[in-house]
Amino acid sequence: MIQYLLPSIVLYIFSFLTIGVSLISKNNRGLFATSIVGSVISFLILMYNLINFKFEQYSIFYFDFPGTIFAILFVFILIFVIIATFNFNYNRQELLYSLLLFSTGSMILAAYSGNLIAIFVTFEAASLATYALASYPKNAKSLEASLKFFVIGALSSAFIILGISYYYISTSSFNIGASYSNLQLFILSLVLMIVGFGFKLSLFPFHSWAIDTYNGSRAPISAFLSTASKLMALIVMIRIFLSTNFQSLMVGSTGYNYVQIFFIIISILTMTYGNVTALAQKDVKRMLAYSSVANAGYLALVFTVTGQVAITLALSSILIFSMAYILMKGGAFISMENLESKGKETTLDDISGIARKRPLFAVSFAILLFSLAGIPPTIGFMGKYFLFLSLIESNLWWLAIIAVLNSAISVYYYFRVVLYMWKEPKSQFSTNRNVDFVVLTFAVVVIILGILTPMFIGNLNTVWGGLP
Amino acid sequence: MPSEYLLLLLLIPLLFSIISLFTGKYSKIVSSVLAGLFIIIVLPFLPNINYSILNPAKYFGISIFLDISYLSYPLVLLTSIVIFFAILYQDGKIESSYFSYLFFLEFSLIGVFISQNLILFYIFWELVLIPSYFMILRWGGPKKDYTALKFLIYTHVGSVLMLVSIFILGYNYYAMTGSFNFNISTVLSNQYIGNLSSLLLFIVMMGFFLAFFIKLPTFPFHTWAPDVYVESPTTSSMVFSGLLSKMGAFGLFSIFVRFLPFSGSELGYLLLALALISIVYAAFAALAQKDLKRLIAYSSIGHMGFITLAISVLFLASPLGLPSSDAYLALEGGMFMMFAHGLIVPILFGSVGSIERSTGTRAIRDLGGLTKMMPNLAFVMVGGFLASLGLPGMAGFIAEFSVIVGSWNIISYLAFIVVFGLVVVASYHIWALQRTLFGPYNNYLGNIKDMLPREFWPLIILLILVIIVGIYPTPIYSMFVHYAQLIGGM
Repeated sequence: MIQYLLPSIVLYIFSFLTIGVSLISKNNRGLFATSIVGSVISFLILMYNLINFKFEQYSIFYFDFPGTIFAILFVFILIFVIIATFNFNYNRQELLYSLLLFSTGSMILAAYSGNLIAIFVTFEAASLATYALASYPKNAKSLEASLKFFVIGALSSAFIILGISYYYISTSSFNIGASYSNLQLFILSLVLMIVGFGFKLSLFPFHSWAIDTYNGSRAPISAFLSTASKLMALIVMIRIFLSTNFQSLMVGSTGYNYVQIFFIIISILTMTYGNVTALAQKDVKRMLAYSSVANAGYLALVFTVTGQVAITLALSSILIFSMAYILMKGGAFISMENLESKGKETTLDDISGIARKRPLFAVSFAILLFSLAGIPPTIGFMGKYFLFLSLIESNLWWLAIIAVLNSAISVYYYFRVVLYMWKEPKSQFSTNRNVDFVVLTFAVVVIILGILTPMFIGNLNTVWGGLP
Repeated sequence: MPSEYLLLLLLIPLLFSIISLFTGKYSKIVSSVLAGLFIIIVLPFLPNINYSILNPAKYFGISIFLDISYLSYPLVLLTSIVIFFAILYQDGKIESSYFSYLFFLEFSLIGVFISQNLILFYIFWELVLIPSYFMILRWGGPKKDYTALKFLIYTHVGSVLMLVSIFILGYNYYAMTGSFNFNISTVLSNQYIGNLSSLLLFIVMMGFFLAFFIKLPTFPFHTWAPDVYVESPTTSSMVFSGLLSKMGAFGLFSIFVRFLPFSGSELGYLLLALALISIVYAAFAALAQKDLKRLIAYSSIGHMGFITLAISVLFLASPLGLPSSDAYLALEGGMFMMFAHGLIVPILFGSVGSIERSTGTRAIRDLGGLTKMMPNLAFVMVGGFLASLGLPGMAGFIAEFSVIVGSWNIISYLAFIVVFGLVVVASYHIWALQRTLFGPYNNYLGNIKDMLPREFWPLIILLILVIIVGIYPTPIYSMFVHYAQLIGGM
């Protein structure tokens, strides 16, 4: 048990250590080193856990394979976000690192939680830290973003807690997959929880905070919010809605899966809304925020799958897609830091011509955009491919078609950015070596994983073997 | 024979693409040597060898299954030839990344031509977009932004619809067997297509139909083609019109014909209408062009109409139960058109490129009497235009003649429309020659220089190839005959 808790404990310890270090050293370098060391140690422990993986189940924690993968993804993006934030020069920057580490530590616990109370507590711990994070760089725009995020977050927590209490009334248990005595209340509790977690995942009617928050916060913070925070909501929802017990409960008793239909409608609306509104955006960062909503629609597709075989494939493919998502969306948001760090706007005109001045950055950013658009051989294509394959496996071929067509729409706004990057340059571009390093790393990983994915997805299925 | 050899063949252009990136100012010499070397490497990969599947359908239906069929061998050869002559033609002062893009394009095109797995086919089909997009964007003309995005969206929408079809085929196979498989020979065999419901069959066919006819391009989906051919620099136009349109044709002959037993004659009539409109419309549109390069772009669309015509004749003939030798003749002609057009159109774009370089304009009315100052150009251009209008003794004639003769028994008097189109084709070719090469010399052009050797020799060798293939077409034509028999046996 302790080996699975250790990564979070390390992160918590280093979260307080960064504040202590700031008292000794006046230099940001010490802070940077401390937080990097903490997250790398945590990452190494997680990798050790993955290699010596052994399933363990306790009353409120499931230490299983998907949880470990998601924990690795959280810490992975954390490391690169810290690297990208090195050039921030804020007063009391230790709080930024402390909050990042604290939030990630709670996210890891949330990924392992198998009980609604544990889920709620860890989820809130992670979320509270992110509300404060969203306020960087503390100008009017970002403060508004942070406040909006906080109010909506509090509202979503209310929905979740209401859903959990109905859940308890209908099942007299907080455990996931408990059998119910009252179907109406049970469905109501599930809908309330979908709404609550849907806020965090930025599903369609609950998405409006995401645009302002991702657009208003500093780029690396947006990268962290739009990937780690979102995937936390995803893994929690996967635990609730895809567990074996839950599936047999829903299909067995009513013969008609209400939750599935609800998710089908929501995912179609989310994909389409995100893609169509992203078409009209002139600001690259805002476009990325909308495309992040669209991607939430793809992520929600996993809940529409039914049947044990299809769910197993869907779970493997959602791991691939989450990997892809964290790389390409995180990388794309961090790229925006290159413009923001010199006080530039992030409109298409600002990015125009960057390829002539800084070809390496432009090529890496373009690869990330190709991956977002789902162009092979990137991991973005593979993630979508396997996700759609699992839809087909559960007879939802028409939903796969809608998703594919949506993916076709998205090509326009991603390639428009590429087009502007290859125009004649209008202004000078500064170099931020850390950001370039992060973006290049992500681009290389996107290509390598894209080529290797078909070879390890078969193994993922056998390792995993379904959720408890 | 193990298909590792084919995988190596596929990876060689990718390697060349990386090498040429680092060659600096020697990039043209190095690239032309490499491209020439590649033609020699391609030659022994003859189509009658059975290659094994590299990995059976282990990874959810994605398998590296490569094969050179009687259809793909001429196209792979054509790809290597056109890329070689395009590099020879190219001015060496361009950045070395241009050659890198060209080799990458060659890699993805050959991947399209030799993949036998639908997912692999789709991956290469999409990969073609990336180098072409950047080639337009980096070295395009004044409207390059608009053109690049238009090209990308047109072709990407087509290919995504094709992905939908591929998914439905995979779903169909999964529903029948419980496992995934995307091999073309399996999923598109009669047994599995026959299982599709009529709605799904319609969606699948429409997906492939749009993908291939956009890429070809055929009449209502053609508008990206003139823009792309005109906005690109000469070498890119040679490659795009010579090779990219062949992807669509290849898809028609290798994938679309597999739906032959399942389609009614309605599809045949639809295709026939598209083909006739393409041929006649492109001819009249070319007649009206003021820009010489745009004229050639439309002539290229018209030639692709013959491929559509060949396919439509095949679809019309099969339900009618007519003696199929006619349909096969048209089919062979259509396939030969791919090869012939791929050799001819680089000559046309090359000569226009030379005119533009030495006179600074492509507008037909600003030119005139160029024979006086540019005798070499006049020689090449007249040769190319005659080949393009289908003069007997050149490669284009064999293709057009086979298609028309083959279609006569099936579409009867409608073939007159084609012949009428051909008359217009001949007239705009001759008229364009008359207005640019002959007549009084336009003195405002000043004292211009003739073609450079780097422009003259590649084009004249291509012209010689066109004549050789026109007089002795058997080596290539017999492959298409083999392939047509394979289609008949399906």
